[in-house]
Order: sequence, then C-alpha cells, then structure tokens
Amino acid sequence: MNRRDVLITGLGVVSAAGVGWRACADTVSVLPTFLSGFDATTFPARLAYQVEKLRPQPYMKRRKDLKLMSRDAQLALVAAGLAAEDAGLLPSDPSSWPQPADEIALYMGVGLEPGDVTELGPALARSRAADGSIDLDVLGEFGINLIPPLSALSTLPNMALAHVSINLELMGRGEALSPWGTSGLDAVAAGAEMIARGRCEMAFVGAADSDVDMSGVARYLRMGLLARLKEGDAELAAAPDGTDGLVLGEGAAFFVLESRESAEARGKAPLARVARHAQYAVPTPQMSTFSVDVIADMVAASLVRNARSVVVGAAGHDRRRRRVEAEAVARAAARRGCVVTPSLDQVSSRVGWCVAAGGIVDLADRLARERLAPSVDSIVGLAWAPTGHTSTLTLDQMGGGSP
Amino acid sequence: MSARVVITSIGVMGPTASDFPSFVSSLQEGVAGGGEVTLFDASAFPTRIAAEVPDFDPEAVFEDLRRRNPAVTSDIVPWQDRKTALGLAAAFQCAERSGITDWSGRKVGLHLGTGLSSVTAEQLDIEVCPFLRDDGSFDTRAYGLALEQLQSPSPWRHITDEANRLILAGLHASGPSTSNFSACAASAQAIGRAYLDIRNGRIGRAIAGGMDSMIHPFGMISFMRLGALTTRNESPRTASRPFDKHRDGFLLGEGAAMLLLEELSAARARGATILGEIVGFGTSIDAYMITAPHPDGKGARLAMKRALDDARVKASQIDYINAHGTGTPLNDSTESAALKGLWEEAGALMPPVSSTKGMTGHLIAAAGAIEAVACTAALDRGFIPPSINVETLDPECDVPVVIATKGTAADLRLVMSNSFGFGGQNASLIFKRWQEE
Repeated sequence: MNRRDVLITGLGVVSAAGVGWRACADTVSVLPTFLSGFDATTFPARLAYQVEKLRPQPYMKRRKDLKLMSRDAQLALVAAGLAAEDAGLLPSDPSSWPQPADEIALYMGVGLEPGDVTELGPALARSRAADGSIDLDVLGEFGINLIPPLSALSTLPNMALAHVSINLELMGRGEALSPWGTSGLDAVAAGAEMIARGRCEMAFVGAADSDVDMSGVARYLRMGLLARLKEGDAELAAAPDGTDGLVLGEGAAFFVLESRESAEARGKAPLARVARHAQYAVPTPQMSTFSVDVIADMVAASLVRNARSVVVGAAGHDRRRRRVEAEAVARAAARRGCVVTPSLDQVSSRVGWCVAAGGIVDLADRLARERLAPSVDSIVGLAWAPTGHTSTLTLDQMGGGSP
Repeated sequence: MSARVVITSIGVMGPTASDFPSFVSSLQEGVAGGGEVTLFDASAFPTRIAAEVPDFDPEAVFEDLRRRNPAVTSDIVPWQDRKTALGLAAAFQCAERSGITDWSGRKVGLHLGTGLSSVTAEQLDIEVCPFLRDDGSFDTRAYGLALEQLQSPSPWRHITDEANRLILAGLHASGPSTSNFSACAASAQAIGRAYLDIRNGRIGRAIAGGMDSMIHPFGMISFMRLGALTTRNESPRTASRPFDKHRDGFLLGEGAAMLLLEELSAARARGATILGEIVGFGTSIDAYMITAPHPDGKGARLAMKRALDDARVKASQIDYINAHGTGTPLNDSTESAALKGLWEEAGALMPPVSSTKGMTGHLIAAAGAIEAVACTAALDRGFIPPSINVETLDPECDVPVVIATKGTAADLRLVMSNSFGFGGQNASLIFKRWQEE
C-alpha cells in the first residue's frame, strides 16, 4: 500500500518561553526561575523553567473540571487548543471542523504519575502510630475517608489525554504512550502512521509534562539527574558548556496532523511534512549508560541527504549528555554527508528538560522559530532516555503556513 | 499485501495460574482466584480481598534477571515494584517457551502496557511520615534538607518503561520499544501496537503484553474511594461477578501476560508452534467524562467497529466475545449496550459473551494481555471460557452471557477481546484460529 504524505497544519506549544508558537518564537532567551509551586528553599536544586500565565479555561467545556486536572492535563489542553486554532479549527465548535470528531485521532505522550503524595497528608497524619509509622488499621478505618474520592484520577497519566479528548470532543483512535523521554516523538509517529496508512485524515498528537512540583523535583534529585542551581545561578544555565546535570522544565506541544489530501481540500498550507520516524531501545543493564553508537545510527537514519538540517537535541543542560550527543550527531552528519547546523541545536536549553514532553516541546519550539525565520530544510527531533530508548522524528518541506 | 501476525509463545503470571498450560486448564475448569489480601494487612479496609498471584517471589525473578545479564547490578532490586517483577517473570517465561534460545542481537519489538507504581506503607513511613505535621500539612523545608539521605528506593519505581529496560537487558535484545499508559486498555493497546508494527513490516517479531499490581494500601484505597471495588469480603471466590444483577464492583487482581508475536514467514522459518493469529485492532476515546463511560457505549462501539474493519470481517463472523466485563454496575451495562448496538446495527445474532474476570479478577493495566491469552487459548483448544458467579443475569446486560462453571466446547474461528479504561480509552482486538490457508 502507498503511504500518504502526513502534514503538520497546526502547532500549539507551551513552555517557559511562552504560551503559543509566536510567543515562543519571539522569545530570544529564557532563564530558569525559583521554583514557585512549593517552598523549595532547602532543596538542593531550586530553579526550573516554569510556565507562567497558563489559562486552560478558554478551552474547557465545564470549568468546574479544573479541580480534577493535573498540571500536565492543563498544559496539554492549552497546547492542543492552540494547535486547533492554528490549524483553523475552532476549539469551541468541533462540529464545524472539516473532519468529524469521531474520526479524529489523539495520540499523546504522557509523563510519570502526576500529583503530590502530600495530598495524602491528612489521611496519613490521622493514621500514624506512636512510633510515627502508618497504622494500617487506623488508615483503613478512619484515614481512608480523608482521601478525596477522585484523587486517584488526577494521578493517572492518561487523564491528560482524557481531558483533551473531552474538551475537543475527539473520539477517534487514541493511545497514551509513556516511554519516558521519547513519549512525545513516539506519539507523533503513532498518529502519523494512522494517517499515512489511510486509517484517518486528521490527528492531534503531542505530549505534556510537568515535574516542577515537590514530588517531581525530589524524584529527579534523588535519581541524581538534576543540576544544583540555586538563587543567583540562573545565568549559569546559559553557560555554553552546560551544567552538571539537567534543569527541569515543564511544557506541552501538540501538532495537528493531516493527510495532504485533507489539507489541500480545505486550502490549508502545511507547516511541515512528517518525513520519517525511528525508535529503538537497546539493552541497558545500568541506568544512564548512553550509547553514542546507537544515537549516531538513529540520527544518521533520520538525516535527509543533501539537505541543510538541524538536529534538536535532548541533552538539555547536562554537560555529559551534551558531549555524547554532539559526538553522535557529528558522526551521523559525517556518515551521511549532510550539513548540520551547527553540530546540534541546544533548544532544550531554552526551556529546560520537559521530560516526557521534552522531545516534542523542543521540536515545536524550533519549528516555531523556523516559521518566522526559515534557515534549514529539515529538522530532526532527537529524544533519548536513561532507559535505553532513543527516538528521532524528521520534519521537512517546511515554509508553508505563513505567520 | 500486509503481513500475517501469529502468536507463537505465551507467558502468564496470573491469580489462577503461573504458566500457559495451567492457565488454559484454569479457564476450562472455571477456577476462581481471590482470597484475603496477604500482601499487606488489609483487615481494617472496607475491601479485604483481592486476586493475588500466589507464591510469587519477586526476589527470585531479579536473581534470574541477574543470571541472564550479570551487568544488571544487585542494587536494582529494591528499586523495583511488584508489577515489574511480574512483568519480567512473564516475559522470560514467554521467551523460554518460544524455543528461541539466543535472543542476543535479535531485533525484537517490546510493547508493554503498564500501570501506576506501587506506594507501600513502608515507603511512606520513610518518605512522608517523618515530615508530616499533626494537622496533615507537610514540612517541605525539613524534607528538602533530608531528601538526599532518605534510604528509600522509590524514585525508580515511577519510571514507566523500567520493565522494558530490564526485559531487554535480560534477553540481550534490541528493537522498537514502547510502554502504554492507557489505564485498563493499556496492554490491549500495547499488543495492538506490536501487531501493527509487524503487519506493516516494521519488525518481524515482538513481545507484547502488560503487567500490573495495585494490591497495596493506596492502590486499593484509590479504587475503594471511587466505589469500584467489591466488598464481598466473606466470599472472595464468588466476589467477582460480571453481568450478575447483584454485582457490586470488581475484584482487584494482579499479574502479567506476554505474547510472542511473529510475522508468519519468520515463525514458519524457525518451525515455531503457532497458537493463533491476530487479525484486527481498533481503538477509540469516549470523550465523555473522566469518571464514567459514555452512557450508550459509543466509544466502546467505535473501538469494536474499527477492529472489525481492520480485520475485514463482519460482526456476524465473530464466534465469541471476551468482554471487558469488570463487575462494576456501570461498566457491564454500558458494554452490553455497546455490544447490542453494534450487533443490531449489523443485523447479526450476537455470539456468546463471557468475562474471564469472574475467574482472574481485574488485572487493570494487564487485563487486556491476560484476556488476549484467554482468547488464544479458547481458539487453540476449542472452548468458550465461562462467566462464573452469575446467579441472576442483570436485565440491563441484555447480551448472551455464557453462564457456566466450566468451559464449553465450541468450534471457534474468530473471537473479539474488549478492554476499556478509566479516562474513556478503549481497545478491541480480534483473534483468529490458526489454520493454513
């Protein structure tokens, strides 16, 4: 069967650089700020790239649902709504869209469990034994009633997808993918594959993640992944040689994907074409042992020969990861005889490490800037995780969708 | 022409059996899992029963992993939670039963459905309780000072693709790998993804399935607060009663199931025993409410319709439906409405329907995987698994439920398996009896 062309006709991105693709593109540089969601004054890492002025309400059918939405879900809804608007689809009236909402797919990369264990505080405090440990008898009899009935729903990562589907009325094919750092790029690929094979004409694809709350920061600190940036260290994040670890960010990005036939039928100029995708995992018996060879192979397979390309890396601020990535991209470029400008583009330094959404937020950020000032023929998004998963996604045929 | 996707090996760690042949027997005999919770002291909880995998030793699984790959260091053991251990056990069992003795260097896909990480009381004793004030507020400053000295392994439990990493490490294999977090539809969608990858020529072989264990204090509390669990504590083996008029919620189960899927020519080339074939996969989203399925089952119907279309078969050709059938009042009536609507629309007589959750309980993210195994067993051995514990069929579930205590012999050619998850995520798979054509 012939594969159909899959085009990006709408872009929604939310990051510390701004809300919306133009805001992101217009922002020259971003610095991390003091963690605002909790008292982080004693935490070894206190800075992160945080989204300000996030307002999901305009995209919500029932505003009272806001209390059921995790930060991930709010980011996702805003990014998806912005993508719809950018594609010329009115978020508040899906019935006016060129494709029936029943048939529009939704593939989303989701992060680790959102939510905060401190929500259990009243129940746990009520259930402590004299030695301070939890008394399960008391928890079962009394503490349980202090846990909000719907709290579990906000900790399910796929609820971000549920909120997007409910508010945009999307009932097509859909999956919540969660291979950590590669989730977003894999979700794009999954939706693109459905269109390429004629299973649907339009798909919303994207990812959202926010780990800048207390539990998220603590989790990654204890994993030893974060740079120890404190008040006054914001400028260090801009150092050309990076930092001694990752700097957390939060964000979301969504693309509206469409078959070429569908886009042309409604006269919608594409922003780019989804040219290819690759995903691969290798045995990684010890966490965080990165293989330059694997990343180089993946990037080499993703580069378009004779094209001016930019590789949007996933190394973030981490000095060691940057070295691995730079070497891999250089090897790949040499092997393919491609011009890669420069050796790699440290977009993720702009908005921090958005974890599950990292790959797609970085890619969307670069696509937004390319939209205002075209400079390359193709963009390769690269995402890789300490679990041995690596994904690449290549966009080409850019230049449409005039600002 | 699309490649054909066949099932050539199966690994099962379930409440009623811990290998494929035993699981087939348990389905045929109508064996019910379920008993008092032993994994923690639940004696004061409103629900005190669950369907645990009996005699399961996670430490033995990690020892096996380290035997397979000594580069996996012993300090990973306390990182892991029970569901990861169950997933590894089922995957290694599946690999061993396949007859493939050396997986190193082989390109193999790995697509797994997974669930929330476990939060044990011991973990909270270390991570949370010391920083709780009497009013339940949290002393964040004290926590920030202490957090790097906490002797608790919890951070790595939250990594959603950790089981993928360890399975590939244990097998020394590489390939496309994803984890799926679509709640109770997760492992059905993971199997569907592997099926699509093989059918579309991306890979020739994949292990697909899922694992979950929510039988820990806060896992059970989550479902209890939602009103989803049965409270028939006095009769754990009859507590799970999908489609029964007096059902009162699901029996929480745990486990893992993995299927080796291969492109037909690759399976034939190595002389593999073929257990069945996957021919259709469909998904949908309810887009209705996060707390309830679409009342007329519209989303579920769309998933089933897409699976039928994908398989290029008509509803009238399906010989048996393995329902999601959880035993919650809402799920079973909604699923029944969806089934009825689709078969009426097709003008076809609905085939027999059963829910194997009456036996296994609800394995949450692993439900779709263990039910895919049940469907494969039904096709391969020619029987319909029973819907046990149905004393009075609920009139709201107006579908031909197979009310029985044991499997019923039947000549099956095509069967459908449904999986529907919180958040309105739906998946349907269609399996076909293996026969040369």
